[in-house]
Amino acid sequence: MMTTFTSSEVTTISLAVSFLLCAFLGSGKFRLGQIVRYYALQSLFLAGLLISLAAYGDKHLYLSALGVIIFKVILIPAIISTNAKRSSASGRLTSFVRPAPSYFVSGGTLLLAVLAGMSIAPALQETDLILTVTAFAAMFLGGAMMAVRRDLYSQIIGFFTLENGIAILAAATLGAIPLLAEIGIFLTITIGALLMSVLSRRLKELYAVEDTGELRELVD
Amino acid sequence: MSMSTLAIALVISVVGTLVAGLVAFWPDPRAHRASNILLAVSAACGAIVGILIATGDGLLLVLPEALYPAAADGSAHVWPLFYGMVFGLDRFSAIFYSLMSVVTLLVAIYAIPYYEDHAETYSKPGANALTALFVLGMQGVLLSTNIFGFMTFWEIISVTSFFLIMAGGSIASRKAGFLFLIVTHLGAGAIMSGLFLLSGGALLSDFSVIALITPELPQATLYAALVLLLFGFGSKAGLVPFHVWLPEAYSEAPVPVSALMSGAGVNLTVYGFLRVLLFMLPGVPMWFVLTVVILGVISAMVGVLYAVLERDVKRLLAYASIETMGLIFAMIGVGLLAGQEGSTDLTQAALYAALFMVAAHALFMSGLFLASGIMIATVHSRRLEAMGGLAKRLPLFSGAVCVLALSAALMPPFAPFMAEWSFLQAVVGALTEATPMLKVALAVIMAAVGFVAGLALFAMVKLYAIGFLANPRSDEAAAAIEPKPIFMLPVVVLAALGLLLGLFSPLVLNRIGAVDLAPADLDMQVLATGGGELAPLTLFLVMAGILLALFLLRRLLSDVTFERNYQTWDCGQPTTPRMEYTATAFSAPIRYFFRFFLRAQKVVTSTPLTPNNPWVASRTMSLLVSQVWYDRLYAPIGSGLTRLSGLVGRLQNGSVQFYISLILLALLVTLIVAL
Amino acid sequence: MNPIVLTIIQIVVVLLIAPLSVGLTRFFKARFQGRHGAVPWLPYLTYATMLKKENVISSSGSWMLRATPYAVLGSALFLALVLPLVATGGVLAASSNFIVVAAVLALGSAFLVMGGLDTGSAFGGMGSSREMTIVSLLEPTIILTFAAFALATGSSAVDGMIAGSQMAGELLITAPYLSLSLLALMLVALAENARYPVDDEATHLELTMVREAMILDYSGPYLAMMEYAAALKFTVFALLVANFAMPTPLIMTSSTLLEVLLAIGATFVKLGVVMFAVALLESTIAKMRFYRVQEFLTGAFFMALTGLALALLSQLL
Repeated sequence: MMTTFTSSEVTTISLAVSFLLCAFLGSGKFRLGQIVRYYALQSLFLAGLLISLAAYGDKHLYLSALGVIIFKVILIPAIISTNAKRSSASGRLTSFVRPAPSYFVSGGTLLLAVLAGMSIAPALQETDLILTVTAFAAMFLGGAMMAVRRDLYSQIIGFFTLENGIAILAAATLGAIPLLAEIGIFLTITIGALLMSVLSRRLKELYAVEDTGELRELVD
Repeated sequence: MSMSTLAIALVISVVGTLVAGLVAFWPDPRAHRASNILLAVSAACGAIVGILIATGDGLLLVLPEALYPAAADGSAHVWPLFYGMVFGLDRFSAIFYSLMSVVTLLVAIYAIPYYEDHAETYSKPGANALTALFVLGMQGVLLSTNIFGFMTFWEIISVTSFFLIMAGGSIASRKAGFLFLIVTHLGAGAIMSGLFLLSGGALLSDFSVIALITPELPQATLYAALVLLLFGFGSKAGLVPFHVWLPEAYSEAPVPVSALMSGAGVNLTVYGFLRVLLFMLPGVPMWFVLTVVILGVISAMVGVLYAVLERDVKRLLAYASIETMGLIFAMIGVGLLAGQEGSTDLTQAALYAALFMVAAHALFMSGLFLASGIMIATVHSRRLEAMGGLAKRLPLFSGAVCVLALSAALMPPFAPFMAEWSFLQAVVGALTEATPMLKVALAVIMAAVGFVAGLALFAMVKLYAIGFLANPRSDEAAAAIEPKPIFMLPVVVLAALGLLLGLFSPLVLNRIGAVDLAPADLDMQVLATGGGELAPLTLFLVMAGILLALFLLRRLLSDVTFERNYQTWDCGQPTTPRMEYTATAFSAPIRYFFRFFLRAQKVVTSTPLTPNNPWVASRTMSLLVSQVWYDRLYAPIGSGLTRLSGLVGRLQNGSVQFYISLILLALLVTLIVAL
Repeated sequence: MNPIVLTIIQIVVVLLIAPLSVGLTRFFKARFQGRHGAVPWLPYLTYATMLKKENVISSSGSWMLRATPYAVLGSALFLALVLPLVATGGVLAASSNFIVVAAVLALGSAFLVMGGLDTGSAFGGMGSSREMTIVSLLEPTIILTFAAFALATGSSAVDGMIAGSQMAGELLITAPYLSLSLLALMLVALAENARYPVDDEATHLELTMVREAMILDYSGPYLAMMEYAAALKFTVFALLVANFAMPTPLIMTSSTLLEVLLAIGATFVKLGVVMFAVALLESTIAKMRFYRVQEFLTGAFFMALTGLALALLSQLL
């Protein structure tokens, strides 16, 4: 049976797909500047997604979108790039796999995520199903990025991609989460970005490494 | 005062505490004082609100409703702060709120000179901010009306105490901190699971809603929840055998924190326990009540025995706190037991005695901990063996501590004695009517309380006499001078409050709802239960009158000026401080009489100074008091865990990516298989 | 008669005969041991002499050293005021709740102990440590003993326990199991008053002392106060035990002048009998080594516990 979508639903779906595309493309890039920009873009689409949801749902989501723009599009990328510059980190990131195979990993993960999304929510309507799948896909993409990359910055971005997935899932299933919780999440990830950047800078200064592979043993 | 005024004052007390925490980080030397003063002012606000609600008949303060008076059409617009969460104070939580606030107020005043004097050990901003957050956690626990709020703030308390305990930075304090963290998290986990079992998994439903569903719970669920809650609250209260963390934590934390933890923090366990048992459950099974009684009695007895033996002033107080908490839980247990067996008079008296004991304990224990801070600062040691001679050098301070110590020793006319009296008298009164089983339990309880009261006197006399009397045992003690007034003020105030609370105990008890224990028709001056009566004020006046008469008679019958000072008689030789009885020697008879349980091992090694004369030797003595629960309970668990983690350790290769892959895999399997 | 008058008569009588208790015991003991002995009223003269002597204060002591005589004597005086010794139904009878009595007793002992430690001598410390041990371990025994009386008589005030049974030996006839509790009370009295087999008031060997070691450094008026406090406490316990065994005749609000005189006369007789018994006991048994006192205390505790258990059992029958 063919479903007809309303125009707002079309907007939502296209934003979700763009979001996913950004996440997917970002997972194959190996320059710090690039993946940070892809993250900012991906977050921008997330904000758009929230606005489109807010248009026919909870008006409260406008505030969330604003928060996403402030924190995820502007603040966090800025923090990460500034810190990377200050520590004069090499823009070249390290990974266990080369660029081309990493797209295969991401693609495979995407497939698994769709499978998982379908199994969890077979009874949902089309839009919600697409959002759920998108959310899971973002989570798994982020996770895969963390698992495949060796350097700390990719870990950060991977983690935030994962977090964006959770945000979509929350917006799609719960509608809106209370302001206090939302603010808490934003602050947490901002502080997380700050801490991770400082940590990688310190590591760079102390041990001249950015590779987590070097950090396997505890040192006093 | 109207409800909205009270509500505003309450909000001020909470927000003020939060701001005090933020102010601490202000980069200015005055920030330390400002933060503590703000904390004190907020606490004063909270104390007033708490007292007004605790003594008001049926007052119930609910936030945010009380802040937004309903409009003319009855609709009140309330901004949804957090899932429509409601905070509030009823009479029961207000009692604890006011107590907590009073202790906080005095501790904040004390903290000003304390952290200034210990600036090289503790970071002032860190300590102040964490303390304020700790207080905020306590306020939150008392104000919360659902599981989510309760547990969130409960965890805030745990985490901030963890950092505060470690604030000293020594290895001992780090060990204490981690021990605390482990126990407190096991406890919090148990409490959370217990509450969820009761609520059917609902996170945000109001406590009153949970009370509606608990009668329908299956028995097994209820039992499991009870066991979890008893472990959770009991371990945080320091009931034996879950108390191992408490002496370490209390003794390693900065003094204001120890005072706050023992005077305010630990009360929350009683609050939580009673909140669940009295307000959320229809009734509890007999085995559970008996377990509470037995745990309480054992804690009180073990706590007091170790308090008698302890030579470190803060650890002694920690054990005394365990003892009192044990007594409180025993009282609660007896109250519930009597309720089951139909002795309602005893139920009321025992529960209110427990509440009153909580209040008394908050005052004397925080007072004693604050005093211990001054003692330690004076002699630069926590060992009682390094003290002595302080009464002569610090007369005013020593007087206040003497009062606090006698309070803690359950002596009349101070507040703890009134609680003990109410309980014992109610027990004696209930003996006649009680069922056979209850009779046996009550007889045993009476003997146990007597035992605990006797040894509590021993421990406190030891604390005071070895710490303050005779000649100084160290150079630092000999050079002691009276502390700054602001340092001493909280101690003196707490001592005075303990006395006043005791003298006006009928009034206080009547106002908080114990109308049978402190009947209004006896002018609220008499405690009456179980066929006995006690008029604290009269008792005090008789005692004071006797002393006054003796004072006058001494002047009348003998010449006061006909006296001289001379050294202590000691078979004609001069005495030195090394000849004085030490804390170890003072408690030796108890150590000997209870050797079957304590199994203390005394090792004296003597090395002759000259090879040909064995009598001239330097001797060192070491004393090891064994702790049954370490050998029998914790050591086996510990070795089992170590073996288990050795097995798990094989999985760990140190690569972050490997762990993340495992997590992802687990998530994927969960999603596909479980759903 | 006015309750205030009752209390005044009681306190005056008890205060007046207190030194006699010590004197009588010493007198009887001397006779048992084949000595002539001093006159029984010697303590009156001793205390009066002490009051006139110079007060030597240990330079190690603090204010506690000075507070101790007041607190110790005050505690004994409190007991003499509230307990039914010569009269029942006095104005302070309501304050004779047994828990209060036990606590005030312990309070006095606590100050005695602190005073003993304050001089800084090893003897004082030793005596204090021992006294504290005895006092603290006696606490449960006292509670259980009185609880049994309270259960049997239905009153928690000691005054009520004795006033309830005004016939000679009535208490022990109606509730024979109470004889165990009474025995426990006697053991408590011996231990509390530094008597055989726990302590020896006549010893001159410091290493065996308990109470004497604590007051070694008091002299002059303070020593008089301490000695008088001991005598007062001894008298109080003696009369209390006697009244539990034979509560009549005591002065009551309904008493006539003749009955008052009779009761006062009976008080002397009671005191004489008890002191005779104590002297007999002290002349026939040996003092226990301190580390064996545990057995004595345990015995007293189980006697009190058995007394209470029997009292509870008798209610079931």
